[in-house]
Amino acid sequence: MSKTKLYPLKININGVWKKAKVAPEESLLKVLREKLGHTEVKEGCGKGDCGACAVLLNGKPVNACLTLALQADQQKVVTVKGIGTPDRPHPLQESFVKRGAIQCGFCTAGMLVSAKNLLDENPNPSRDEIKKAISGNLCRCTGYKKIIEAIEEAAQKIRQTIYDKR
Amino acid sequence: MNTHILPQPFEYVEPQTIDEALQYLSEHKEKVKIIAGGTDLLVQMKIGKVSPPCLLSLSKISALRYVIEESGLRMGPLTTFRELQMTPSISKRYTALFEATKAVSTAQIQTMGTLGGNLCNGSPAADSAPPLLVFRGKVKLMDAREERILSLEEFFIGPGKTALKAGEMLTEIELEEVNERTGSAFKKLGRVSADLSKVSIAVAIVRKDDLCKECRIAVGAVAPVPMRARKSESILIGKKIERSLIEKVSHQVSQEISPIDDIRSTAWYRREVVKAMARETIQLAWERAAS
Ligand SMILES: Cc1cc2nc3c(=O)[nH]c(=O)nc-3n(C[C@H](O)[C@H](O)[C@H](O)COP(=O)(O)OP(=O)(O)OC[C@H]3O[C@@H](n4cnc5c(N)ncnc54)[C@H](O)[C@@H]3O)c2cc1C
Ligand code: FES
Ligand code: FES
Repeated sequence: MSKTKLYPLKININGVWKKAKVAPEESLLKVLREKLGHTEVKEGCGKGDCGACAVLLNGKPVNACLTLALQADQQKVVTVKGIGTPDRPHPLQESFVKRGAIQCGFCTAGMLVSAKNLLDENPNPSRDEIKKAISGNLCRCTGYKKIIEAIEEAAQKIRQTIYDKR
Repeated sequence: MNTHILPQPFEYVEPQTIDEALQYLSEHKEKVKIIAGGTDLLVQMKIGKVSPPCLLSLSKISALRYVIEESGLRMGPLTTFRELQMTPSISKRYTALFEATKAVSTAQIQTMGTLGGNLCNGSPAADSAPPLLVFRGKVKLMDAREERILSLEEFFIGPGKTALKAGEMLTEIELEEVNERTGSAFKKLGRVSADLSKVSIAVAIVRKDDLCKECRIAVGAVAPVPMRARKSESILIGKKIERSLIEKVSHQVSQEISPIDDIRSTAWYRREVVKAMARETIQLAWERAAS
């Protein structure tokens, strides 16, 4: 088999432009994990069902396992690490820890990405809206209850901050 | 089955315009496969069902991503479910289509999946198909030399089969005009909300006073292609809508379909459950046409 041609990729991850040489058949997930060191993005099913690989692409949630790296060329990606840092965690990250919404933690990176997108679009979601927003993120540990509560709590915190700023 | 890698290498091209894309398609025909959102195609490639030597990505062709309302509705095939949902003319007037885009799987799939990909994949369970059928959707297919326009009914040929020829591309989806007397609704039944449909149904009704002036019913995942249930429609047309009549229609819908047993459901269950779904959806479309 002939050697696959590699193409230059330039991609903004969590605010930093990065470069890599990638083959067309490499998924965004593979390149993030294996070429750019972003192992915080997880791989579960590899076919769009579990959401472990969810990242924000230009602000919207996608499954990186079903995105070709080249489709993300010149675009902006945010992973769970871009949502907040250990020193300055996002309210969602705080609530997830505080509320016990993380057990094994495998789903967490994707879960937070979906939750972040929800709260960006709707800071006052109903329980049903929360469930719908995370329906593409499977969790085998928590039973979802604590995750939903953590998202509700974070939403409240965010609304309070917006209110305080006024 | 290893779904973690795309097992076969392939070439990748990313034209900027429709003309460039059509030119490339005409030169490479069967060797090239179009990729839009990739949510159907990449899964099929990962499981080894298809292994095209070349992918042509539409993602840089912004001229394929639009919704324009003028008399009817014209939509570019690259428009995603999420973008369709955000379009006021769809949420206000093409209610069945709006509800179908909301019913597609998860937030991620709604962000990635496109209308064109949903249709061109040719799945009998494609959620956008029943609503587009009840709004008498037409598709524009182009190759490097000419274009043709087909009704959506002519477009669907069998499971995974459409009227698209090698070298052709879907470039527009057009819906007919609706007015304030049109009411429509969509319902889908899946195992969980993130799943493909076991049965889906869309209804559009045009009301004049107490009479049903026009009625269109389309069902998905219950036949080799998404289909109109014309005999069922004809029972309602010109009639006063009453409970007993809706009951009769829902039984006719169940007769008219040709479901199979598959991983998602059984033929028997589909015939039974479609009755209840037809009842509810007709009722809802009728109420919406009134208000
Ligand atoms: C986890 C998961 C859940 C899903 N749930 C649902 C669901 O609930 N309901 C549903 O309906 N679907 C569902 N799907 C299927 C899929 O997401 C949709 O069918 C989607 O609309 C496909 O669009 P795409 O842009 O991703 O298509 P792609 O995968 O890019 O393309 C699909 C096919 O269409 C062809 N194609 C695309 N655009 C064109 C064009 N303009 N001209 C000619 N050919 C073209 C491609 O060559 C390919 O054969 C699901 C998929 C996954 C992975
Ligand atoms: S790994 Fe991408 S959705 Fe499961
Ligand atoms: S915490 Fe283990 S999968 Fe969610």
